[in-house]
Amino acid sequence: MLTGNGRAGEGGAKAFARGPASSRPPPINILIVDDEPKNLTVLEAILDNPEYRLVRAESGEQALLALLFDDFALLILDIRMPEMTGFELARMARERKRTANVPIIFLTAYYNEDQHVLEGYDAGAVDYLLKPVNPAVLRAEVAVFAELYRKQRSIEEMNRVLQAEVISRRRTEDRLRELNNTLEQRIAERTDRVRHLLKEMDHRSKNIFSLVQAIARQTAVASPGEFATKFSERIHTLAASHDLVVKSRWKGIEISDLIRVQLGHFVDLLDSRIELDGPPVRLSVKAAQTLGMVVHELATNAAKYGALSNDSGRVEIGWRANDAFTIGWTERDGPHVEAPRRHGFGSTVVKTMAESNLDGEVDLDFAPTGLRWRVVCPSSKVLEKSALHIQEQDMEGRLDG
Amino acid sequence: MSARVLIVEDEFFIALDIGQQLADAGFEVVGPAPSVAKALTLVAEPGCDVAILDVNLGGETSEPVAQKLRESDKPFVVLSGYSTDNLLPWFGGATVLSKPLRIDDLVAALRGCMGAPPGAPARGA
Repeated sequence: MLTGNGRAGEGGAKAFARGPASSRPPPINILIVDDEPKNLTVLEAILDNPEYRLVRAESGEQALLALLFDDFALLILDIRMPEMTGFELARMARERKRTANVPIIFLTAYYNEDQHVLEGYDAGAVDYLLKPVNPAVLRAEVAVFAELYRKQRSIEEMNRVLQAEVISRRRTEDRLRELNNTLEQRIAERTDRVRHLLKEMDHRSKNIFSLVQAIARQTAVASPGEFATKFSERIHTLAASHDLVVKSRWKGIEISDLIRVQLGHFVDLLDSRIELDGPPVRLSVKAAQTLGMVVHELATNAAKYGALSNDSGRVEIGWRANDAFTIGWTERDGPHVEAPRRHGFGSTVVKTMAESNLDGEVDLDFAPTGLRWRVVCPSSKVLEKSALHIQEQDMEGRLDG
Repeated sequence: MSARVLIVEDEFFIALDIGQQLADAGFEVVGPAPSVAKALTLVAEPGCDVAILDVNLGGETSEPVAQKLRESDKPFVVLSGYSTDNLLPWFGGATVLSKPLRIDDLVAALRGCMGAPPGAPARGA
């Protein structure tokens, strides 16, 4: 009943999408309807052209079925058919949205009788030819409708492409706007962070000036004879800790790095006479400054009187961090230890300062076999809050408070 | 009787240094307190006539101490490490000294806020 192959509806769209490079556009669908198969065969012979795909229907019902399955560029209808006439079929096609605008060529052998009906149709979308059909006239007529169909399709396709383009551009614009907003927000956040850091640096440098001032006076009182040397060493200690702070980008100082730096040239004895034992711990700026001074004073004392003053002494530095933070300095195999008769700057650092700055308790024992020092304090006083933004939030709280 | 001055400062050596110099200048030093909690305890017992408050106590500010002192009508001097926040609301009319400080400025500020003429010896209220 139906002949031909392929789906015409998709064909037109694809032809446009492929563009001018495509050698030949896909054929367009033409529905030919006649109750006489011979007539259909004649039409097929006349319209034999690779640009057309002819679909045969021998009744109005077959024609309606064909209209359901395919898109047609043109209907060629015999008027006089049993059951459903060409006019009835045309009316039904007009009532359907999908086929309402498909042009129709009626074929009539009784022009005088059919004329009044034919004139009832709008001109343009409809034409009629007298039977027997003049092949040249039919070919010319079909060619006009086929060209019209292609142009319409092409315009529709162009519209579709343009619309898709508009949508795609709008999406791109939206995305750009979104990215822009995100970027601006990130810049604002970064600017804030930098501003906070600058403020914190300002605060820290002022504090360090004060601390240097205080250490200068304390050193002058405790060791007037060795002021220049001792003061210079202590400033060096502060600077070394500060270096680590900057290198860590203010995100906490690794405790083993701090100890290494503060051991000075004794760092060569690491893993032989000086042993470090503890998990990775990131110290806050203040804790690093405090522990840095402590390690420096303990190392200086050990070099002068303790385990680092002979060739065999050993030092073990161990720490643990749970709810409480503990760090100990234990000397062995050094010379016999005697408790000092007076408390100088060094013992103030390792005892009173450590306790005050770390809110902890220091155990300092001048055992004859070797000095033992240990501090226990809340971990919160020592550990860096790992993420920088937490530190900044804190800072904001402090500044706005 | 000497004026009792409470020192609220979390950096031990700075507090120690200020304390020693104020003692040399004739004050009786209370503290130093490195935290708000410790400072509030000392304001209650043994108490003080005047106080020095460092703004930033490593994670907290001295604001609660300032409030407590104001309630007890005790004047205070503010010590700030920041160049730009010299006028936080809770300072009130207190003198703000910037770090590092000169002891003469501090002594003058303490005497000033206690209502004594700048050159007068440190005496309790």
